[in-house]
Amino acid sequence: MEQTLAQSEFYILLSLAIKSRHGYEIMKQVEHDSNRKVLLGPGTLYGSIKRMLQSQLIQEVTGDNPRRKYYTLTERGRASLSAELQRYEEAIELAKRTDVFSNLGLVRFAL
Amino acid sequence: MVRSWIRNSERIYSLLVRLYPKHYRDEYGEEMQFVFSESVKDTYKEHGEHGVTRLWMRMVWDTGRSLIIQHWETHAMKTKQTLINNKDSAAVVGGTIGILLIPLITMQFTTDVQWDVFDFVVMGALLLATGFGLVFVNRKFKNYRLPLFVMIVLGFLWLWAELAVGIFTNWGS
Repeated sequence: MEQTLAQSEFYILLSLAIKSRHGYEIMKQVEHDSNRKVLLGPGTLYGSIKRMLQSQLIQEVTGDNPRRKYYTLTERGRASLSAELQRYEEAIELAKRTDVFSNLGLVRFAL
Repeated sequence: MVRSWIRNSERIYSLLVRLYPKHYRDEYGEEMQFVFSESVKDTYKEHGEHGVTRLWMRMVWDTGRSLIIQHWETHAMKTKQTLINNKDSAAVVGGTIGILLIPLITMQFTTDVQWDVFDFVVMGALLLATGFGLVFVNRKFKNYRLPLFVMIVLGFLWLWAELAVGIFTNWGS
């Protein structure tokens, strides 16, 4: 069973799902994808990158700018992201089936 | 004015990066400074000085938190490495303590076993010397370790028997 990802790790994997990026691009993409709910500073960003490299979720690759370090998803990272998205999808399905959104007054999701 | 806000911020951040553990700094320090530099330029362009102030408030939290994490992880990694490097010594000490616990516990339930402090000290020294002897042979004389192991173990058994009941000497009396 895949390990549940931390929020910052989930968004970093998501940002790398389409293409490889360097640190600043990852940071901006995470900010955009999370509607500015997840704001990564360089400390948190590279701490997460270090852990994700160690657990082989991402790997370093060469990119357009030779002075920058680019990162891309590994097969394990791709599987981990898919499993996480699947979990979210199942949770949303369950919430819809059991009418949780309406009961919580979350009209936007219930529609 | 614009330049001084950006340049001063970059200078301060480069000083903060120096507080990270060396191996982490070598690996990610330059990238972190680049990310910060781009962030501060964009923020100044979009939100001016107030934006940079807000960015710094976030950076202080982000840097402080990650400094603690990285130093902690470095410390944990070094401790783990030390334990791995000294696992043979740890096994010898642990084994000696474990063996000495047998008579100590048995004494609590029967009078047939009666060891005093001197017995524990002698047996402890004997076990430690044997254990470290085996470790030394294993490291330094890999090609002859089997006969040397046998010699050390036989030496231990002979000395133990000699001290306990006396075979060729009266050391045990």
